[in-house]
Amino acid sequence: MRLEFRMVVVLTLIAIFSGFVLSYTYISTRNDIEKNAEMAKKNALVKVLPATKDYEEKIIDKETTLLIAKDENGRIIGYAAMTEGAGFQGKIKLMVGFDNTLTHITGLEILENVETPGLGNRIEEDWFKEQYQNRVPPITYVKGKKPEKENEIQAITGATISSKSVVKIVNAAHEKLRTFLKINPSSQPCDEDSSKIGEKTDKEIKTIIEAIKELVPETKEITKIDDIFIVQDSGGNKIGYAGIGVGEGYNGEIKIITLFDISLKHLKGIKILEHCETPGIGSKIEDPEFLNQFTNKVLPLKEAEIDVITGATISSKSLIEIVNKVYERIKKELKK
Amino acid sequence: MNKKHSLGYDFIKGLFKENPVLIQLLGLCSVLAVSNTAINSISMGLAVLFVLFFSSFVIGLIKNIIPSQVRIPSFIVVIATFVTIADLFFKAKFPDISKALGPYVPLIVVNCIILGRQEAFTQKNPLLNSLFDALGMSVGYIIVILALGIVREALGFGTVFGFRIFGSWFHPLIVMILPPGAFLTLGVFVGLMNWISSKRRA
Amino acid sequence: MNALTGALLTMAILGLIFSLFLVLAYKKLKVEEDPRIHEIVEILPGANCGGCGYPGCSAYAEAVVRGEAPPNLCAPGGQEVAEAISKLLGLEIATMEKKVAKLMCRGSIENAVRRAEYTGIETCRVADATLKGDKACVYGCLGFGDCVRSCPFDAMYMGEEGLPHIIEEKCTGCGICVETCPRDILELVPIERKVFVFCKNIERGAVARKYCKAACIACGLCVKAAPEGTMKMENNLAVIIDWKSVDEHAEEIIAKCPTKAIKLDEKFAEVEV
Repeated sequence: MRLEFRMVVVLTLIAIFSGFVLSYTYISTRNDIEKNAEMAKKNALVKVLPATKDYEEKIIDKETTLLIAKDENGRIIGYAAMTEGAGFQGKIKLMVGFDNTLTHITGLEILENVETPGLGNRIEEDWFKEQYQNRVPPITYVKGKKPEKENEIQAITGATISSKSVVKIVNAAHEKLRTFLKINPSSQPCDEDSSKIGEKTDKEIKTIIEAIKELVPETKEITKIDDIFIVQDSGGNKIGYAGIGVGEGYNGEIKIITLFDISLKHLKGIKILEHCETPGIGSKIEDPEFLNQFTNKVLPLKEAEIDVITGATISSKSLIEIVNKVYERIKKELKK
Repeated sequence: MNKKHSLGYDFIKGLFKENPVLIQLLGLCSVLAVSNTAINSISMGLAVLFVLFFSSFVIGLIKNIIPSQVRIPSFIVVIATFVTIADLFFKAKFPDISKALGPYVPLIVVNCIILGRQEAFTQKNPLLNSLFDALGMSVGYIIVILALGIVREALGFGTVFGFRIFGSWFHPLIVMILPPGAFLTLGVFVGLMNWISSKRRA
Repeated sequence: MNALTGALLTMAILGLIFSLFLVLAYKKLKVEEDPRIHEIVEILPGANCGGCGYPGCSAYAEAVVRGEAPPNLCAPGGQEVAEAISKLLGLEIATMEKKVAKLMCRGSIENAVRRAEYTGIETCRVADATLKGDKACVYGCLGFGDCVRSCPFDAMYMGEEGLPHIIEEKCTGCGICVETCPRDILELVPIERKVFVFCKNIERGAVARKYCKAACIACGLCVKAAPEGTMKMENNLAVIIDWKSVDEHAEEIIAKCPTKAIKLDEKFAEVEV
């Protein structure tokens, strides 16, 4: 019995001792290792979304983490996905940044790869990563020629599979973010601001003045009486009335500035000041092409006049409501 | 009868006569895989030195109480413990090197040199001899992997330890960074070693 | 503290499970190994030369304990080892006569005629395979030194005349060189033997003579001079049957040889022939 007993005791003791030693080592190194991972993540995030001052993390699935990038005021400036997928030789881990409407890519950083040196691992080269800036997902790759369309990137010569893998991972990340943010719309500090929507800060007034000047370039002077902005040209003639409108969008309050002609018959145009609509969907109300529809429409606006954004009917229709609300208000004010 | 040698002999033999890589042809996968730059080579070499030395030390201390039926798992547990320590150390203090060496640090557990020395030497020799044996074998390993790393980095990147050594006229030989380049260079080294050995024997 | 207990528990359980597993395996698969085998391996020199005819010292140890092999097959170990093994197994002390390798050919560069120029790989085995080498005598030593290189005890060297030499103090009689020689010219002989027929050419005397100055021409004079039955002529070669008798009458036998194919081994000769 002695030999068998010794076999069990010795091996078990050695195993226990090993476990003890390793626990101690692990605890001593854990902080450094975590710090290194955090550093790597933060550095990558700032590389893809340079204006980031702070961020919030949300885990989407086993391989993907969403990083919500915010500026110093806490406003969301973009979304980044830290994700991984299969490359040619092994796992590729990357960080890809998107603007806050999820329409454009702001940057790409490769975090980990084991691709072939000199070929596949050229995905780490600056020129390859910089291609992705301002591209519109879903991305496709072209070989042997310069990319022409806004969703194309050029694959690395001799490393098509590695390049293709990166494209696949980026597109998958984009999809995952879109789906996730649809179900969990990101918390823009919308609700806090709703109490302040009545007040106007200096920054806001500047924005309003800029917006008016954009819509009516001949603007020389803007005077404010109560809630109405009276727009005058260089000759002192009134050329239009502007007003701030607030209304309920899909996700929260939408704040716009509307410009009417002096007869109050036509809408000269609108500009979005604030909103917290779903990125990539409702946020498309900021799209200039969409907003151009509002130019020179007859007041009050009819729903049929405006083509709503696909998938963002509520956001689109709320704008119509707000315009008409402002119209009614200014009409009443001017009657006095 | 197994002769017991002096400490000096047990150290020196690992450098040349019984060099683990060029004569015994052990531990080749790690030598080929991480020798693409000089800094990676020396890091790997130091990791192997750490693991081999301390494994020999611990196993040398307890070799008499381990029943021979469980000696292989016992050795492996000891070796794996030190490999894990080395791996955690790299990850904490030198994360870039950890990334560069990748899965090859954990693979030191099954590096033939480590287990081979425990089986062939440590378990039947005095502790002090085993320590010198471990040092000799490690230094022999480092010499080879560092030489390979310097050659591959110089010809494949034009640098050594990151410092440019060739002018702009130099076109890097990509093959040196890839596995075939490693194989060929190692083959040349083994051939060189054989030639030197045969000269000494004659 | 949780990481610590988790790790300890995991390792302890793993260690326990696997060691129990091994105990089971040990019980079921145990091969009863005679502990004497291990002791014999300790006695043996551990060179694993294969001279005993077994693949390594462990195999020989097993064979001896099983009774298949006599205890005196280890040439490198010599008498000392043979005695130790015999004592361990309670056998009669076997004697081991020291045997050394000897080259049964004197076809040096000077003596042997070359019929061709050979520029191939310089090993005896390859040369022999290549149309039987470059010497006119196809039974003689090729001189490329396969035997010298094969010696695990560094007991051989190639002489300037083109024939291998054996350093008898170092030679353990393991027999590796004998196995290596593609022409079977090397033989293991008792170290005290004096007289040898240094030729292996089985062709007719006249032909053999044309090929090599030191060839045996099968004239039969040595056989006649030797005591009855101690030597014979076979395949155009003189053959020693009773070496002890031949050694006793060495002088008169070797004096008769016209080519000095049969003579004293150099270490006994006073003058180099």
